[in-house]
Amino acid sequence: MTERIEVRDAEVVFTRKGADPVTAIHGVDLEVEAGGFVSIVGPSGCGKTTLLRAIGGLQDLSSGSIAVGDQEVIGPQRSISFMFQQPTLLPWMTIEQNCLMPARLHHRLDEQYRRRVGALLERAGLGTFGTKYPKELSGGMQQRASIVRALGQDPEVLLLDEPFGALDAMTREQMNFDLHQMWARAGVTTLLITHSIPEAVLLGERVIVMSSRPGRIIDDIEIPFGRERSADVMNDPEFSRLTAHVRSHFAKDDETARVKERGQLVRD
Amino acid sequence: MSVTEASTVNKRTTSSPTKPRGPARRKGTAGRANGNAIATLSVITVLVAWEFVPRLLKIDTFIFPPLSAVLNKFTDGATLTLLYQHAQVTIYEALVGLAIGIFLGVSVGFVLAEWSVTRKAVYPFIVAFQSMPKVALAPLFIIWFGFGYTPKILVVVMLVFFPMLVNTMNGILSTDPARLDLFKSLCASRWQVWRRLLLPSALPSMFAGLEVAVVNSFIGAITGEFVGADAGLGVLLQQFKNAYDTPAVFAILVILALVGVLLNQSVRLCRRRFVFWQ
Ligand SMILES: Nc1ncnc2c1ncn2[C@@H]1O[C@H](COP(=O)(O)OP(=O)(O)O)[C@@H](O)[C@H]1O
Ligand SMILES: [Mg+2]
Repeated sequence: MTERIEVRDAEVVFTRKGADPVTAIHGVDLEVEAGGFVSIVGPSGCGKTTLLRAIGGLQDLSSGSIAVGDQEVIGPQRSISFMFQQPTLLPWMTIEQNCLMPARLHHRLDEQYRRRVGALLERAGLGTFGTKYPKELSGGMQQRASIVRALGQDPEVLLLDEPFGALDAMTREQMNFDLHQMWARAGVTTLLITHSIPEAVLLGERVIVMSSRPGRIIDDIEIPFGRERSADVMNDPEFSRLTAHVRSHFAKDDETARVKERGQLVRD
Repeated sequence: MSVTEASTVNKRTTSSPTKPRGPARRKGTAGRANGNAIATLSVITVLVAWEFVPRLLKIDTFIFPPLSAVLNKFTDGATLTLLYQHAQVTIYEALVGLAIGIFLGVSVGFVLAEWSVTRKAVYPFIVAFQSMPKVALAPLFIIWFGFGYTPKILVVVMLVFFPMLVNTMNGILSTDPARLDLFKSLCASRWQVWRRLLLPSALPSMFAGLEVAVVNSFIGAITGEFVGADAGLGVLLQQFKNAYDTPAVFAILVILALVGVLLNQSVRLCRRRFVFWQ
């Protein structure tokens, strides 16, 4: 029931009137096996969101192709579930109503769906907050509710765009393990964009590194910690080695970026 | 789920002890009681001053009557009947115009928000009308429709239509793009997007428009009556003015103020009920 993702030579160019076209991603090839967890890191503005939106069918490609399962992506699909940078909960619905909304839209709200969402809310520590409104919850709780909304759909593919960026370190770590456990149980194919290198290594079976714009994939690192991970992973010397390896790309990238910027300034 | 449904659920939860994030927008019960006390005290002070300051300063009743002179008008049977009959006319014109204006403004607002082609086509006219004092159209409406209700209702409609139109349209167009993305990713139909996202998103802005519209409706009715009418508080105001009956003029102003406050409070009540999440 889970699906693999296959991105072939994908390119997205944004053209706007009165502005130079922006090549957000260029020549991206990426395969994610069914049930896999891949983290994506890269400097900001390098096209990570664009890539994820393209996989989710929210962004058309300029060239190349994307397939989820054996179907070409031509638009949003019900089997793909998105989690955005903000919780995007609707303030006029209770937490439970928010989590049930996808089912309502798809006309498949039944007892089973309610039970699944109820169980997920429980797991996310929101069991007693179902009747509360989003503004009554903290940012971390809202973000957890939006994970529940995404997972409640029982998707085949889960796309997460910097979901924990706005959280404090403690909550973030908690959420990391929550997400990991939910993924390990549900076995859903997951793509996670993150700014945090430790987060990427902690959660991903692979970490993909993207270059600055136009975004290309410049490294693809296997993370050999298996499917069951605990906080101990972070004490493993291998963990520091891997984070250091990922970070090395950014040090270089930062420099090129700075040099480019300086060049820009001189030209202007 | 409709907004109304949700608001009934809300009653249980708004008073819950869970602290909302960020600075508390609503004051606690103590703060509100305190605010009410201050407001009451200030109203009483002004009413007392209204009674005694004109007497102390020996201001002519014709210029500025004390409160009691104004209130006396409401105990005088003949004046009271006049006030009642003419107030009915004005309130009728204002409310009918308000209803029509809201209906048209909201409908056209929806249409313009949904179809950008119509929006672009109509936008220059909206800007032109927006920047024009619409009461200036009253004489024209009198020429076209005579001295009855119609021209006044039309002036009211004009004054209600635009704030409703603009606020409805802007409310829908300023829907959070992240939420639109969410609905898109969920493969929601256009109808679902409207019902579950655009409409609720636009409600706060629509209510802001409604608050303006309610005030405008009486401006429209009174102005329409000033320009040409045989009944209504606008007519009565001029009659009282011509009779140098300043206390009676004040009596009409008191009525208009009370009706205004009443309508405004109703709108706020509705807003709190329908836009409970803000
Ligand atoms: N709708 C758009 N129109 C024009 N340019 C865009 C649009 N969306 C993104 N971009 C540009 O594409 C580049 C990549 O953006 P994005 O994918 O959001 O990067 P990231 O998520 O890695 O920070 C950026 O330079 C951004 O300005
Ligand atoms: Mg991004």
